[in-house]
Amino acid sequence: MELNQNIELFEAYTDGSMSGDRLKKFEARLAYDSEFKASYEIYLSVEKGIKQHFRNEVKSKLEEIDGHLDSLSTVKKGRSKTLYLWSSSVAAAIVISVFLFNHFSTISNQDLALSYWKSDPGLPVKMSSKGKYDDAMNAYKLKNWEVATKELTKLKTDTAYYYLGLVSFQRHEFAAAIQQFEKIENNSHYYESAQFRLGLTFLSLNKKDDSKIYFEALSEHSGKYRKSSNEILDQINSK
Amino acid sequence: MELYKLHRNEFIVWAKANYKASPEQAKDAFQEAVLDFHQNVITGVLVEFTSSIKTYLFQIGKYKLLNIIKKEHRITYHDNLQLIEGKEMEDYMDDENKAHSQEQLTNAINKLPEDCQKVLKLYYFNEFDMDSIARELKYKNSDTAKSKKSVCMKNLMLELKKITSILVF
Repeated sequence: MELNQNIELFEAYTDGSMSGDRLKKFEARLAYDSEFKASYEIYLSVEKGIKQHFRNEVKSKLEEIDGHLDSLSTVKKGRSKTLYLWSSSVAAAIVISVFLFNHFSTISNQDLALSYWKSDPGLPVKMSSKGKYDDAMNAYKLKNWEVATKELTKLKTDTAYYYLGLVSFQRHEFAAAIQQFEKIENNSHYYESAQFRLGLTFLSLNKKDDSKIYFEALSEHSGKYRKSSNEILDQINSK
Repeated sequence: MELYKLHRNEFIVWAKANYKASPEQAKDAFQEAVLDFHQNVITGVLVEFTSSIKTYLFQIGKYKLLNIIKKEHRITYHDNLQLIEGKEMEDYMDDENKAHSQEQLTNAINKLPEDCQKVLKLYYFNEFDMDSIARELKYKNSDTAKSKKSVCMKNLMLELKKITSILVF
């Protein structure tokens, strides 16, 4: 493979460590050897793609923060109302204390769930032919959750259930997300991911015992969620 | 991350008031702005401020927002089956192809071992030099880090080749 044979050369040229005759020869070859030049261009596009990949990864983390901040503002509105209704009563202080205790433990579990919740980029949409998920995926990628839900609901497949679960989670409709993920059967390609996301969704609802059932099952298998499941279990059990 | 948390809500309100942007559009734009800010700081493009960080972020965010609104308008066109031509069509096709290639690359990167992903992230995203990568990942020296990065790039190319037959190696 020509590209892999030249990786070190391309790296030296792009990081500026190439000099003298070596540099002149390299640049001359770029000018006369079209195959070499094509390999170099692919190398450059892969480098650009790697940067974009890690940028997208950080962006997913910011989206997770969004979910957290949005849910916090919803909780804050509810708390203001509660305070107003009970402010004249001494007994209310006890109620509020209990409420705040539950509230903060909920946020803590939500934080934990969100820190492991990875955004899914959606299925590729091809220009050459119309696929059955295209409308749903276009809406999903634009975060147009209403249209995505409408389109996905028409499709009674495990793929549709999985993405409906993701959309419901994004909308903080956790019960609906659970309902969708639970429809995915164990022979599905999405089964393992759905099980992991079920655990995270229950954790977001502060249902630690329910979430542990999923993480314990995943931690017993050598799948891709084993490590994360063990980490989450450690954190839940240490609380 | 902290900058994002600090100014996000204000940007959403500002974007809605000035550009009728939806919260999702505003969040997307502000995320891009924070990422550009981070990149500009680590690459040395941004060395001193002529305005506050917030003003700087809002300025970048504004341009990101306008691009997002323009792009979504273009996709709505396409969904309505109206004819799009010329540069607009080229841009649309370009975006679709880029998204598809990026997805293949993401799949290939995700298949690399964790240590390779770390090396590539430190080099390409954090823009660490080889000495810093060696320190961070406890390698013997910068030469070890450099050869590790080369091996990881080769593995990535092999993974990409497995995933796609579009690339010509």
